[in-house]
Amino acid sequence: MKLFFASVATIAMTSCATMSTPAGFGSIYADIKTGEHVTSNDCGTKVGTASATNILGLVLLGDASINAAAKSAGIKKISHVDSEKKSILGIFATYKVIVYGE
Amino acid sequence: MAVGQELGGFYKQSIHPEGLLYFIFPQQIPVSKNRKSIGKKALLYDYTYLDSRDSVTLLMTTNTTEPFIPDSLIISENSKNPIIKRNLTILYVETKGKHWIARTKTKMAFEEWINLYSCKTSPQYTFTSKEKALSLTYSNNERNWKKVSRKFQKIQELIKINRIRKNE
Repeated sequence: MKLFFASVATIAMTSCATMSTPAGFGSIYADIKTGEHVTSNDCGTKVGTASATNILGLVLLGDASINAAAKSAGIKKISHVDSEKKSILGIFATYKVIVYGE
Repeated sequence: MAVGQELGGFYKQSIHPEGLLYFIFPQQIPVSKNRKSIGKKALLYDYTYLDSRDSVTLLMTTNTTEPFIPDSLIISENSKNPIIKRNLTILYVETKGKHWIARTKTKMAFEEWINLYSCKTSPQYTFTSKEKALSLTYSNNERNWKKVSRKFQKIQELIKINRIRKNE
């Protein structure tokens, strides 16, 4: 009986740490890079990142804001922003923001 | 030449009006074991390199139990002659819970960067603060050093090849 409930709980929790992407959901595995924003500022030489993690859809931690990423590299003028999303079996997922600028 | 290292998720290469822009995602170096150390978490560092400018920008984050504003960095192998000795620029200092986080920046020449990752043994990173007369040391274990240095050597090889192609 315990094994049955544990299995049901596990199945219920899967896909809780998945993310939507322009290419759709990746329930089993996702590793995708996408563009987020573009500005009219010149392409910069500085790069900053910030990330957040999701565990089982129950615990979400981190600061994946554009502000955090820009601050980490001392970027004052943002040229464009990309993101990287990874998730494994809906159990563990990360979202990373990459900011380019000057 | 380093071969066989999987670099997925380790670096990013982008087109830039002045050439190719390389970014090495944040890596970690553990605090050197010392009971009196104010270092709480591993050093986080990342590199940015634009191939037309020949200088590598190194950004670092220190996490300490008390306020610590590092103003200089020495990277040395076997605590002997320093490979790199630089003053640091502070980007910002902030608190997170009970810890103090300092984000600093410095630059080095491409050749110095190559020399750093050619070291046979894991180099030691020592941050000093004149204001507080304190120092903070980080060092990788040899196994991690071999793994990380091979990845960096592969990227440096890639940069050299792209530079040659660009000049042709």
